[in-house]
Amino acid sequence: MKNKIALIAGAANEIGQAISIKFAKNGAKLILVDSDSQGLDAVALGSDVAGALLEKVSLDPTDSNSVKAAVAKILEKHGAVDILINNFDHKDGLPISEGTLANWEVSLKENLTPVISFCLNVIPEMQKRQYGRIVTVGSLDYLGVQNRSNYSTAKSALFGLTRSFALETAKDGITVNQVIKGDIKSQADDLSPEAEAKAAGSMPVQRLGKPEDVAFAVAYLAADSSKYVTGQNLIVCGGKSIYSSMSA
Amino acid sequence: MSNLQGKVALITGSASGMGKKTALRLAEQGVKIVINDIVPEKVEQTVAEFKSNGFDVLGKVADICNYESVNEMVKSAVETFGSLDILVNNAGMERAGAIRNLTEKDWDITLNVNLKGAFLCSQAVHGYMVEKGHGRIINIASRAWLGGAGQAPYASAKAGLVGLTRTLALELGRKGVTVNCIAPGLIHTPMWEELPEKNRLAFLTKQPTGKIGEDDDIANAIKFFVDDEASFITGQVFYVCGGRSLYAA
Repeated sequence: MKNKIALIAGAANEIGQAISIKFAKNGAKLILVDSDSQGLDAVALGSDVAGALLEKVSLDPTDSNSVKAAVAKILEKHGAVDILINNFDHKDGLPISEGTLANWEVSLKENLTPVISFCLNVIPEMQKRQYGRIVTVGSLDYLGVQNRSNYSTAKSALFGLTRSFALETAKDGITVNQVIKGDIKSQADDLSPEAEAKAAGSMPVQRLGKPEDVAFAVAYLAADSSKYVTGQNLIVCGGKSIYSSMSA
Repeated sequence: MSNLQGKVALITGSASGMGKKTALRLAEQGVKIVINDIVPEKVEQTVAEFKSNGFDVLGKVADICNYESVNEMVKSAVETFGSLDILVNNAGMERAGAIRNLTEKDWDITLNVNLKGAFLCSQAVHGYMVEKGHGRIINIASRAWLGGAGQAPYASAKAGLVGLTRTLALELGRKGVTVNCIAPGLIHTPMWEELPEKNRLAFLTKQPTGKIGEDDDIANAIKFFVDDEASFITGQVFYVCGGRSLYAA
């Protein structure tokens, strides 16, 4: 991905940061996008790759007009987007009894709408240039999970979206894939050592994932070397998916 | 420097084709390579080629369907290089035909080479990997495990590899050994060149990309999965097929 222009949408959370750092190390030029402007400011790529950053753009990814305007501006300024990463994640953890239609609408708007907006605005330009890599970060919760039904539904939609966009763009030198994350340890979770040991113990590899585990897979699917891979879902979950059907 | 530097890989069926390309890709990263095939001349030739490029290589002629040959091969690989970090179960073959035309022999040889061979090699290497607390096993299945007319033995054997992959991933995950499956679609091989033009066109129309892949595409995927940084990926079936897996057959 050396000197490729990568738009990382959702760059401020831990996984977004890990992806940004990995891409910078691999020689990509980065445009980092997020709604969290403070978080975005805090993303540090490291002094050895400081030249990798083209710009940071703070915007509301659920607002399709903002996305459209921002992508147009980015294209005008930098000439291309070779790589698009979609990394959006919103969970409310509500069971059926507490969920409302409004919660569902928020979940779809936060998890799904930004992916659609970025893809719709970036793909036509990639088609003109006959090159593109799109990688969306999904979640293993798409297989179905208690108390996260709206989240699971939104993540399931990414499955059909990825495959459909892949088929429509396959002849244009564009690949569209998804990295499906399993249980990734986040500082925000604030797990007790006991809780973490218990969670790790239930995993075939006996540990929780790190943001870097996800970033490594995203980097492969965003590179030239994966040109014959499209419409795929690469599950990065320490083997947890093996317990479920629909995961091969 | 690549984190693959100094690792040792056994790649079955690596004297030609996709296996050889994989061996080359890993050797370029500083991996010590065990070249295996059942045909002695092919092993000799490939080993000579790798040596002339300055790669660290050991040639082993072995029938992967035979318990003794496999265990002798693995033992001698470990004696030579000191460990075994990576196994790529790549050797494969196909006896195709409609079910009414297939013989018991067709079934047995296809299942033996594609499935039993992978089991025997995995069994022979896993102890060394567990002892070291690190290992990578890659099974080369095929998109055809999803089913394909005229491919009963091959599809069955490759489907078997998926079950083997997921099971070994569960058994060995706690020991630092990951086990994954790569499912190639159509790849540019001598066999592809030999197909009549009409058949090639028929295949290409079913190919979302409109193109077939190169053995490089598979080698790149293998390099990704065997990397130290892929330690959280196990039990997966990964298609390298230009999107062909998305269509119903």
